[in-house]
Amino acid sequence: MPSSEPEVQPLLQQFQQLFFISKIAGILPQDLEKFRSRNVLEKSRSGMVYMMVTLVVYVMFYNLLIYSFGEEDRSLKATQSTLTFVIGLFLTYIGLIMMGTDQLTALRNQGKLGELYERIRLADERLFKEKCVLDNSCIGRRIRIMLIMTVLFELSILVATYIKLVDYTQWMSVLWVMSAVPTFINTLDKIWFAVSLYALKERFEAINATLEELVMTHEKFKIWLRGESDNTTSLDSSQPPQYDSNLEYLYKELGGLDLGSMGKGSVAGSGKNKVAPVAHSMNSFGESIETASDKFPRNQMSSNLVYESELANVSKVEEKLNNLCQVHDEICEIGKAMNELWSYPILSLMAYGFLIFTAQLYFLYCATQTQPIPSLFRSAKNPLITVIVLSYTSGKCVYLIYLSWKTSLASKRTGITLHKCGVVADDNLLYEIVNHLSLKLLNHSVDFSACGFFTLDMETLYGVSGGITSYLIILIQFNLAAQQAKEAIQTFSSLNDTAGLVGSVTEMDNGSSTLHDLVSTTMLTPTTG
Amino acid sequence: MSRQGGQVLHFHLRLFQCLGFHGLPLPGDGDPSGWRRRMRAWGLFLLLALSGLVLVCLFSDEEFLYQEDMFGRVNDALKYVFAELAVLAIYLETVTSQRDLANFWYLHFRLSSRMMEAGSLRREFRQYRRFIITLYGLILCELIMFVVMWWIQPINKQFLLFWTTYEPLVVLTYLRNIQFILHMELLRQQLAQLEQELRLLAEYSRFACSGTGRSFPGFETFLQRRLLQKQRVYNGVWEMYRSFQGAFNYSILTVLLSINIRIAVDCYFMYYTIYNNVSNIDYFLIIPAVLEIPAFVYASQSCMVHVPRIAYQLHNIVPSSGSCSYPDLSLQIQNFSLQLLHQPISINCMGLTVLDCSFLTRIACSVGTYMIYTIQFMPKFSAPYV
Repeated sequence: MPSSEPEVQPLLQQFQQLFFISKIAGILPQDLEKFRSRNVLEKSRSGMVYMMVTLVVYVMFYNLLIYSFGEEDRSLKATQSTLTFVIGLFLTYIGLIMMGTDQLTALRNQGKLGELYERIRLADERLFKEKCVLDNSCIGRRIRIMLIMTVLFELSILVATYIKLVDYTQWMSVLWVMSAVPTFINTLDKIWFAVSLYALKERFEAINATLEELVMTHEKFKIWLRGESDNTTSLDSSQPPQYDSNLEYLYKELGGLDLGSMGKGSVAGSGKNKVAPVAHSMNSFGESIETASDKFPRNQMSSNLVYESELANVSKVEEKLNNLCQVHDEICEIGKAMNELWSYPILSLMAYGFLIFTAQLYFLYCATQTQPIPSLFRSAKNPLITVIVLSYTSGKCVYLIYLSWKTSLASKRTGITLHKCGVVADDNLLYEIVNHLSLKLLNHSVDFSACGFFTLDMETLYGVSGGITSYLIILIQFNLAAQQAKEAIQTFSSLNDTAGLVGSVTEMDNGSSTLHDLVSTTMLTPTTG
Repeated sequence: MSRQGGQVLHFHLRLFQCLGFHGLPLPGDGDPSGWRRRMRAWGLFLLLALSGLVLVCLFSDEEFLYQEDMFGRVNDALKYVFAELAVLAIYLETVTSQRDLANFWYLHFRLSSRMMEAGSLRREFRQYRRFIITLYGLILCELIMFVVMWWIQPINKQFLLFWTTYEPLVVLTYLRNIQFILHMELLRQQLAQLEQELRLLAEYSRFACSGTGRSFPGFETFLQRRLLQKQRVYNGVWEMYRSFQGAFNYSILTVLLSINIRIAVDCYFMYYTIYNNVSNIDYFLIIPAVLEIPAFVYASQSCMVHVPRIAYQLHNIVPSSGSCSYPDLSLQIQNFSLQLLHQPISINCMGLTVLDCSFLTRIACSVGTYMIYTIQFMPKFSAPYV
């Protein structure tokens, strides 16, 4: 197939380095040789075995890491506040769970992933037939930038933590390297998703650009037509310019011109001139319509040599619009399939992001209060490393959310450009086509979600940031309360030692009955606190 | 001075230009690219100056921040930091998004040529009354609060230092907010005008089809042409909305956030000062801040409610009734209706949240919730610090 259509390069060609690294790290089980030679992802039994082995090895070493570094925790358990201890315990395995989800999902999807990229390639071919050429080279650049960023972040976190906060005189400290493995593997997996998503967004944008171009050529065509018949409609030129020439200059110079909208502006002006105002007599109005309608085919015959607009030819453009909308549908379907493939990994990533972000900030607070924190989260002891960790984690989550949102917006924009085509061509037959396709597009919108739990758009981000703040405040409050209770107990016991009188009274009360016990403690705490 | 858009608009745009918010030359200024460069330099200069001011305030030994206790200090520092964030976003955005702003004004002047032509000053005042009331009302409110404050509260050095440095930042964020309101008001006028025109068309078509009125040959084509023109206008307005969103992107977020933070912090501080019997009543100064967000939300809401109204008026146009039926007109109406569905106008800040009245509810809820959370801190804080 690629030989017959050499112009359409498969998307996977850009994924060479990423695939190589993913294969080595054990993220994808597909066959390396076939990928290299033919750019296809195919199932491979040996790859599966290799991946299972890596998974087991990672899990083993990670447990070893937890065990060897957890000794400090066990000795600290008494001094640690219960809350900190429980949170640490709860979050110990979350990185591992995330990594496991990624790898197991990749194993499950190994056949489907190849199909997905094959579908993208077929869509590309269909786009190519509609003269929509895509440039995949920026995708390769994007992959490289993301890989470099990932390595930079991981290394800086790992090295800084290792040097600053790990006791590297012991040889067991080398195990600390394992702490970076789950996040690294997760990020690599998400680069696959992010880049594929970006590719889909580019395809939507290419469709939009093609439609915009149709509009623009038609506008030029119309202006040219009008230019020819300018002497007949001298009314148009008698109108003074309605906007400041400076602004027009600026507008052009800034290049902000969405050329479509400028053309549209000029057409809007002319369209208004063409239509007689209501106050005008009916005759002149009817006349103007007459000329407008018969002028069209006459000029088109003579204009074919100079200007050509596809929108003028309804039957031809119908096919083109139909094809573009079908490709649009197909890309939406691909997007949905892709979302399906990555739904569990994304859910686990979002859960991880939310929990780790909150926990890291909480541990940072604990560290500033010189309270002991779980040893796996020792990076929170240093504010600078914390900032790096937080920006890395949140960057991953926010970028995915942002990209999904943007892709969804790009897919929705197609409807708008379609309507522009309809309005600019202004033909009843075309209106019927546009209405039909527009309804179709309205029903076929692509929205990305994490397993259906929440949609990946910016509103989710708003909710999540609110959630993080309130949980943080609640946690800090509990922590404060616990510390103050502890201090109160200490002062109370020291009071006990010095003033025997108070102690004997409470002790006597305590001895008398359990009910009394309850009453005295509840009554005593406010006075000491 | 037969300026486009009239003198009132011109004056206020010049005002925003002086503050470095409006990085474009106005109609009538010569040498546009020179103006643009100068505006850019001016914006950057203001940004640097204000950032320097904030840094000095945060780190100097002078008593810029509240001195009595640690807690008040943190509150004041928080206010400075968020104000700085807002200022940073405002000027960076002015410098970088001139393109979208130019697009907005270009479309505005294009489209408003079909509206009323620049007439007397009184007419202009009527046209921009909402904006003018908001602007001068809020400034007046702020001034009155200050005068009352100075009258009641004995001025000490810290008070003077804090307010002379913080107030400019506050005023800048307010004026930026009012600039948003101006743009939304222009958008609203376009939409209202469109709605009005469609209403007339609907009435006309009803009259023509009512039996008593007579339709004439070519009536259908006439209505269709008019509708097509309206469709183009709507598309222009929608592009204006997009340019608005592009031109004011981060700064909506940061300005609203800084006002919100100020309200939350000051509400809490008010409770705190009452709780600890601190003789300080400058929390009354948040009253103008409390008015800012509703002003913004009101403007954006009144802008957004027009789109359903436009759709309603569109479907009021009678495409057929008993004696007469116009299939082509019906097609055009369908097309416009679908276009409206594809191009909704919903003002949001970076997609994070739609800025309508429900946003106001959410802000009130969040301020209330955080107040309750943080008030619980109070006994715990007050012991060591006071």
